[in-house]
Amino acid sequence: MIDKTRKTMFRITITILTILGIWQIYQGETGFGVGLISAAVGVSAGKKIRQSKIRELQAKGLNPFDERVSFIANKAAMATWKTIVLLMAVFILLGSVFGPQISVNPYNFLGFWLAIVVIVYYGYYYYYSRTC
Amino acid sequence: MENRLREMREDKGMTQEEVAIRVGVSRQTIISLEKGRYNPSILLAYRLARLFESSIEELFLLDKKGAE
Repeated sequence: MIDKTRKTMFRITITILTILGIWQIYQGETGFGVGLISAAVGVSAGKKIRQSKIRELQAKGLNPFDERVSFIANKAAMATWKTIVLLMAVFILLGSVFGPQISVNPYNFLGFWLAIVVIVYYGYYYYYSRTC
Repeated sequence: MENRLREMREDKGMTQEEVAIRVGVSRQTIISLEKGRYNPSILLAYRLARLFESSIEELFLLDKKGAE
């Protein structure tokens, strides 16, 4: 995917998140709306900081996207996959045996697991970037 | 994998940053290589050997565990 397309998709995603956030606040779901807008602002700010660091390294002639970064990302992804499958298996087993019948909003539930996946991935990425 | 990267770099009077720029990787990668925490790809190993005018076998030492 070329840079321009990637940038456009990022901007569209941030715009959608912001619009959804504003709409949720208007609908009375203030917490969720503020969360969406905060996520959009946080991701944009984080990306800007990362881009400036990348430009700084490239200006020095250093390559910030080298093979070690790919190696670490692959290791983190594999570890995340194994951890999440194990966690879900334990969750399902324990829930099936001991858990009460509960009704949950499936979207919230999926959002919860998505957050777990992201946190676990970044945790492993940080760990492998320190040890490799 | 053990290596003589640091020794050869210091012999040439180069910094880690200079080596990183010359072989097209980040300084962090050179640091990890020198500490033996990361094994390079064959392409990177070749570039490093060429930079230090050496062979891959002289630069990277395959230990007994790696050989098995």
